[in-house]
Parts: sequence; C-alpha cells; structure tokens
Amino acid sequence: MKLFGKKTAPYRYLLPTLVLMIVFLVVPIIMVIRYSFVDKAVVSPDPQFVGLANYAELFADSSFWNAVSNTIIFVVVSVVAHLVIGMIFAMLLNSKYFTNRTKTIARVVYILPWVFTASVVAILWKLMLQPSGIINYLMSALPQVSRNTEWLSNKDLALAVICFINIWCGYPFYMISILAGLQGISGDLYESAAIDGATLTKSFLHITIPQLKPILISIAMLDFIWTLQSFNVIWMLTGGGPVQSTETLSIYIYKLAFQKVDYSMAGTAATVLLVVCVFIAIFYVRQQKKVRE
Amino acid sequence: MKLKTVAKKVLSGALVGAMVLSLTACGGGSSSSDSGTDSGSGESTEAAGSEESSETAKSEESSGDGVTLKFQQWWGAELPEGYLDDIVAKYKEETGVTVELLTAPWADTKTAITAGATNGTIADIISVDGAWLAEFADMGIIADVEAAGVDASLASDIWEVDGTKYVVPVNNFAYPMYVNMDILEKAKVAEIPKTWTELIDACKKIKEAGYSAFALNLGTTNANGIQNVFGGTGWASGIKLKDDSGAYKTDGNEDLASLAELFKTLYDEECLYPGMSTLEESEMTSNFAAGNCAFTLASAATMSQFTDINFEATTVPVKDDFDGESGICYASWAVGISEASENKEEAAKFVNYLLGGLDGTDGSVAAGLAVEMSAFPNSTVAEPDYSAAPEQFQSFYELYKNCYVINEYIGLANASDVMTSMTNDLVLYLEGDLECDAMLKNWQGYLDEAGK
Amino acid sequence: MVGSYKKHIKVIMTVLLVIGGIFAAFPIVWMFCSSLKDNSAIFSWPPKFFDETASLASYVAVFTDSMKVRFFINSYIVAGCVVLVTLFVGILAAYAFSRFDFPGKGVFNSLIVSVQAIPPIVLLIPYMGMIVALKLFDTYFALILTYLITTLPYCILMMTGYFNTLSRELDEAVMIDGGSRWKALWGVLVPISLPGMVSVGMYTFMQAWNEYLFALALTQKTEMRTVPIGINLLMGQHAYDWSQMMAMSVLGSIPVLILFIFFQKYFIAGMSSGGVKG
Repeated sequence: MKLFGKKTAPYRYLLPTLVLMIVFLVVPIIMVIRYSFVDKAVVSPDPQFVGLANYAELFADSSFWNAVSNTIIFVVVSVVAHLVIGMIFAMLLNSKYFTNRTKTIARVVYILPWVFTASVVAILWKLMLQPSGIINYLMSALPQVSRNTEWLSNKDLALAVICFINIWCGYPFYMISILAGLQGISGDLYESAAIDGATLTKSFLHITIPQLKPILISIAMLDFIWTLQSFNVIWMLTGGGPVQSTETLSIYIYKLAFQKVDYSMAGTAATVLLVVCVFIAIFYVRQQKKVRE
Repeated sequence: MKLKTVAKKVLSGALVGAMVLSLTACGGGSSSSDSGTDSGSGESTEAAGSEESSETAKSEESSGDGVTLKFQQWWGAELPEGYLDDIVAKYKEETGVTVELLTAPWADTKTAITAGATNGTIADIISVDGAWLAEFADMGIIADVEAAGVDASLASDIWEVDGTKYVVPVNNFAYPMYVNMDILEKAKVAEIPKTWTELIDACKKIKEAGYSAFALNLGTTNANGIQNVFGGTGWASGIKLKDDSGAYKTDGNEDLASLAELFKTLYDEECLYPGMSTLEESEMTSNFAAGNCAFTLASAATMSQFTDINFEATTVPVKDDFDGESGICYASWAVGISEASENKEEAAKFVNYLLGGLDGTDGSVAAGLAVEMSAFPNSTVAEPDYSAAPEQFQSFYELYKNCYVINEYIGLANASDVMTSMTNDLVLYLEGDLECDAMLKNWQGYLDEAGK
Repeated sequence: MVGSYKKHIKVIMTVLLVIGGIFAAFPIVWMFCSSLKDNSAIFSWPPKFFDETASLASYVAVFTDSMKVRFFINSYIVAGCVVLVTLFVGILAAYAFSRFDFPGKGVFNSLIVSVQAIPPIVLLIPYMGMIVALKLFDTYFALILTYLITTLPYCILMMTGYFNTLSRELDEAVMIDGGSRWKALWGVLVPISLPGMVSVGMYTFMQAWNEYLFALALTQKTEMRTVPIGINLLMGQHAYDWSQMMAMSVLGSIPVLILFIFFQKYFIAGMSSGGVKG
C-alpha cells in the first residue's frame, strides 16, 4: 500500500485530528481509567493495584447515588427545557409577523445569556436571588414571596432553581440551531399543506418536527454530554448544597479530587461517566447513519 | 544530526510535524513523488520548533543576576495594586534575588498548587490556607521551613503537622463581631450584647423591628462559616472541638451542644439572615456593608469596606457564666516552601525578609502589610502603626490584646471536606431534621476519619 | 383566514417576544446596572436600577489597570488562534468523514463524540502532565492546544454535516479538470462553506474566551492570564469586588456580541446546513 495512495487519503486528512485526540485526550483518559484500578493514585509514588475495589466502594456510596439522581433530574430537565424553549424562541424569531429589523434586534437580545463565562452567570444569579436581591423585590407583590424568601437555600427548591439558571444560559445554542434548521425547510411544504387544509398544529407536527429531527437529535446529544459536565455554575451558586441537594456527579467528582484528594475514586466515578457517554455516542453514530441512508 | 534532535523531541515536534505533513501531503494528492519534500518540510519545522524552545529556555535562565524565586499567592489580588510588586522590587534591589509573583484567585489557589505539585510546575514559595495545610504536608508538597533556614524566632507562631514546622503565617486576620449601631438604635437595643442571653434578646428585638439580626454563612462552595462564625462564637467562650489532651471530642460534648442550641434558638426565632445554607463569606460581608443585618463575624480585613454604615467591631458575646480568657478566630496569610524547590535556602531568606527584614530586626515589611490589610503581624519584630486605621479597628485592637487567637481547623486533615460535612449536618440540625446528639456524633466521625 | 384572527396572533406573538426578551435580557441589564454601582449599593435594600453611586468608576479601574488590559489582549490572541486552527484541522477531518468511506469511520466518529465525556476536572492533572512534558506550560500554545481539542469535536460534527449538504459533483468537477482533492477542498468547498465556518468560529471563539479551569492550571505568570481568570481574581478571600467583576464581564461580552451582530446573517445560514445533517 502506498503511503500517499488513494486508500490512505482519508487517514491523511484525519491525521492531525487523530494525533491531537490520541496524544492529548486518549492518553490522559487512559491514565484516568488507570487511577480507577489503583489505590491512592497521584498522591502516592507507588499506588497499589486494587482491582475493582474502587468500583465496589463507589457503588456502595449513598452520596454517589444521590449525585446520580440529581444529575439525571438536572440533565433531563435542562435538555428538555432547552429544546422546548429553544423551539418556541426560534419559531418566534422565524415568524412572518415581525419585520426583519425586529427579528435582527431580537436575535441579539435572545443570544445574550450565551456570551458570559460560567462563573459570571453564577455570580450574577446569586446577586439577583439573594434575600435582598432584585428577584425578591420584584416578586414581593406575590403573597408567597418576601424579602426572606430563599431560593438557592431551600432544599426543595434549589435543584429547580439551578435547572432554571442552566436553562437560561443554555437555550440560545438550541434557539440558533433550530432557527437555522427552520430556514432550511422549504416554504413549498407549508404551502401545499395549507392547500390541503392542514392547521398550524398539524403542519408543525407533520412538517416542522420531522424536518428538524436530525438537528434536534444532534444538539440534544451534544447538550446532554455538556450538561452532564456542567460544573462551574452549580459550584459557584451552591457548592452542591444545601445539604447535597444540588450535588451532581461533576460536583461529586470535584469534591473527591480536590477536597478529599482521592484521585482514585474521582477517576472511578469519571470512568463510569465515560462508559455511559460511550454508549450514548455509539447510539448517536448509529442514528446518524440511519439518517443518512 | 537533525534526525537526532527530532528523535529527542519527537513528542513536541510530532504535533507541528503532523500538521505540516498532512497539509502538504493532502496538497500533493496521490502523486507519491511529493513525499520526499513533504517529510523534509516536516522535519525542518520540527527542528525549528525545538531550536526555538531551547532558545526560550536559555533566555529564561540568563534573565536576572541571581536566583529567581516564584511566589504563588493570592495576596496580590487583594492588596492595593502594585503594593506587593514594590516589596519584591525592593528585595531585588537589596539582594539581587528576583521574586516573581504568581497571583491566582484565592478559591482556586489550592487547585493550582495541587495540580502544579503533581506536574513539577510548583512555585518555590507558596501561600497556604489553614484548611490546606495537612493535605499539602501529607502529599509532600511543602518542606520543613526550619530546615530550609527560616528563623523561627521571627514568628510568634509556625504551623506544624506531626511536630514538623511547615508553614509560617505572615499576617493574622482576627474575626471580630461587627455590629450595625444604626439597626441597634432603631430596634431600641441600648447596649452591644456581651452574653448569649443578651445576644438572643437583642436579636429578638431587632427581628421585631423588621431587621435581620445575625448572619451565619453556611454555604458550601467554601465552607468556612462553621469555622469563622460558629467556631468563632464557641472559642470566645472557650468551647472547643478538642479536649484538654488535644484529641477531638465532639460526641457528647455538652459545651458544643449548648453552642449549637444558641444558634438553633436564633434560627427558630427567625433571627438568622435568610439564605444561610448558600451564604458565602463574601456575600455576608457585602450584606453587612449594605446595612442588611445587625451582627456578623467576619475578617478584620473587610473593615475598610464598611464605609456607608455606622458600625462597631467588638469581641463575640460569651456564654452567660463564662469568665475566662476569650479566644478569637483567625485566618492567615501564610507561606510555605515547596519541597520541589531548588532554592529552598533563598526562599527561606525571602520568608525571613517578610517577617524581619534583611537583618532580622526590621519588621517594617510585615508591619506595612498588616496595617494595609487591617491585620495583626505574626512577626515578633514588627511594630505596626495603626494610628491611620479606622477607629473601630483601634478599639478592637485594645480588646484583642486581652484575648488569644485560636483556630482548631488549621492543620486538620481534609479540612475542607470535613468542614463541608459538618456544615451540612449543622444545616440539618438548625432546620430540625437532625438531633443535636446525632450531629455531634457525626462530627466526631468526620474528625476521627479525617486523614486516614 | 380572517383578518382579526391574524391580528390576534400577531398580538400574542408580540407579547411572547417581549416576555422572551425580558427573560433573556433582564439579568444582563441587572449586570450592567450593578457594574455602575459601588459594592455595598449592589446589596442595598430596596434594590434600585440606578442610584446616586452610579458611575463608570469600575470601568475606569479596569481600563487603567495594565494587567487587566493584558488579560483582554491574551484572550483575544488565544481565542483568535483557536478559531483559525480549529477550523483548519476540523475542516480536514470533516472532509474525510464527508467524502470517504473507510474502515474505522464509525469508530473514529464515536471516539470524537465520546472523548468529551470525561469531566475536565479529572483530566486536568494527567493532561497538565502532557503539557509540562512538552514544555508548553505557561505559554499561549498550551491554551490554544487545549481549546483546539475541546472545540474540535463540535467543529467536525458541524462541518461534516455541512459538507454532506454540498454535492459531490462540485469536487469531482475540479478533479476532472486535473485539480487535486486538496484544491477541490480549499478552492471550491471551503469558500461555499463560509456560513458554516462562521457559525463554528463563533462557537469556538466563545468557548475559548470563556474557559476557566485549564486557563487557571496551564498558565502561571500574571502576563499569561485570560479574562475569566481576571474576573475570578476579583473574588478575594474575604470579600469580592462585585462591581468590577460585573464591569469586566460586560466588557468581555462586547467583542462577542459585536462578532455576532456582524456575522449573524452567515451564522443562521451556517447552522442550518451543518445542523440538519450533522
């Protein structure tokens, strides 16, 4: 086989990507996986191989399962809400009822939450939600809300508030992607549907959704993985509290690594997360193949 | 010869090489005659890359006359701009030693140091928070300062782990109780409370007058309220986590139970500032500065921010029958020398300079830092002149002289993790989901378990 | 359809648009107002949008601090380079995924998606080890490389989708004329894909501009720090400088917004074709 023959062509194009991914991601990932099979990784000069003991310990830890359940709620609520809100806003911005100028301005306004770094998003919402903050002030017209209303410090409410903030700062990515997808749908489809007497709801369900399906799956999958790792916003808002009620897997792992300095356990939890994501990735690639065929 | 260089620097070159290679290779399409020039251009880029990196390495070494010490800290971000730079510039002038300041955000300095220590990029001198001390010592990050040459007689206190002196505080920040006098007046509280009973009465009156009384920060992003506010209130009345033998004794500790009950009373009377379980120290002080609550325990360093309110800084009220000497909670700006440093002796000289100047008798650097930050110097030769400080600070200084500083969490293994767990239990207890005995029993478990 | 029905819809849509706008922009307005106040006024009750402490002092403080200006310059350099390199490397890979069928395609594809799954915080220490071993520590390269790796997967997915929408006849025509694949890619496909590249570029820029953890660990000298570190430096041990933090965030967001306004026409079009197949 010639080194620069036709057969190697795709690999040559992929070479830079593969070199980068393998050297800088796969190698460190393998090291993390190795942590999960040894005792006292990183901190000790010669860690002992312990087999699956770390995994047994992890699965026996009730905090881990608490983190898993918080993560599932956080991720599912965030992804679904991103999708719904992104869809509504995209439809609004695509509507023929507004002038182009209105739409241009609205696009810039609607994208605002996306352009701030995570710690700033957290600090900003913390300022607004604190007892003497603007949210309590504006909402004090409601009988349930006063200057003493706690948002983040209420065990039953904190996770919901965290989800809300994550929804706020994540929807523009969906909105833009869906908006783009909407522009790709041919107007003819709607016109012929209208001639057949289809209602708005019907043409939404039978034209818009099927046409957008590939893009929706792509962004939902990416968002799923990104939300799974969302760390900074939660950490700076609540630090996983009150009483672990907002402790997601990424917080749990951070605490293991940098508070308990237990890289073995952190590596173990990260490996579990990796395995889950590999399955999602395989599912995604299969789905993509189906779409293409 | 070039091939050898390439072989040595394969990893660093591979990246650039691969990019160039694929760029030209793809450009060449399927014609194999290009392959010679492709690999040639790849190699030359690699060689150029490695030459460049060795050049930069050389220039780094040759910069400065003598040694360059790296000093990792967060102080530079909190001091007035350029203050710390002036100190190291003066040091260079006097000794020829360059001290390079590496400033990181306080909350992430631990992350930066841990990551740097495991990868060999750690600075020579590192600033250490009390909560990190045991882990750094355990991981072998910090060295024995006395062995390195730090003059122990210059410091009134040096932090130890298992008898080895590891970290030297430069400044100590005491935690007074701040009182908003305007709120007290409006609530018709005539006197600043001196005992717990008076405190509870005052808080109730303040609450009735429509104000928030007492701020307790139990947020867990940085769980230090359990130390500064809860612990600080206890230490003032001699209530400790440890028994006289120095062992942790919280299970069945009646003094601690009474301290917890004090806060439970305040919580039940709705006298604690709302949002306590996610309240961080920084928000607490900002709220006090805005006049949102009547009492708080916070670092003396924040005093200069309270410009808009009429406040007093005083000692914490004590348990009603207590008449001993009060402890005052403190935090520090403290420095250690990294085990990986190649210039431990020079590093120690700089630490000595911070404490006692060049000859060990000139405490002006330590004194200057202390005055600037409303702190107390740990140096035995510093004589800070607080005459320009706020009057509240001066009156607190008088009270401070009759007390001793204490912080039982300094040097505690896994301190941040233990403090988070303790904080979570305290929240559960205050909200009525956990019994006091069970909480103290849990605490005993965390403290005994720590570092094992 | 009757006219009044249409009118009703328009009213409902307008109301929705305004509510959505408030939802999106209110916190940002509050951020801007806070950046004008002094630190204790930010916490005062009742909260006001503007009060007597309103001034541009925080902005002046940011601009007159040469270190903070340096943070902005660093962020521009890093983010700009990342955008260029990511696009270059990503386009090559996307071309392979779009135009060839080869053994291992599915594996590489799942690899690229799933490597994003490890929480960065765990990767930090081994990754930093690589950077130090390559002598890249405390350089722009370290950051550029890191953000390149984190943004590549998205770039490849989007650009593959984009190329898939372009007919293969386009590149075949070039090759029939005697041109190479390389020429077909850069001479024909890439120029038509400009909208797709703009959308990927925007995303990449934002990621590189806003990243914090690796910027903290992989740089050390103050001269190498980026804007997110600069913002976090204002969070002290005992107190935060809220007002300056808000001012720096507002300033940091302006270039991104300008880029968006400038590119938004392309942006929308680009996301469309990339996303549908992508």
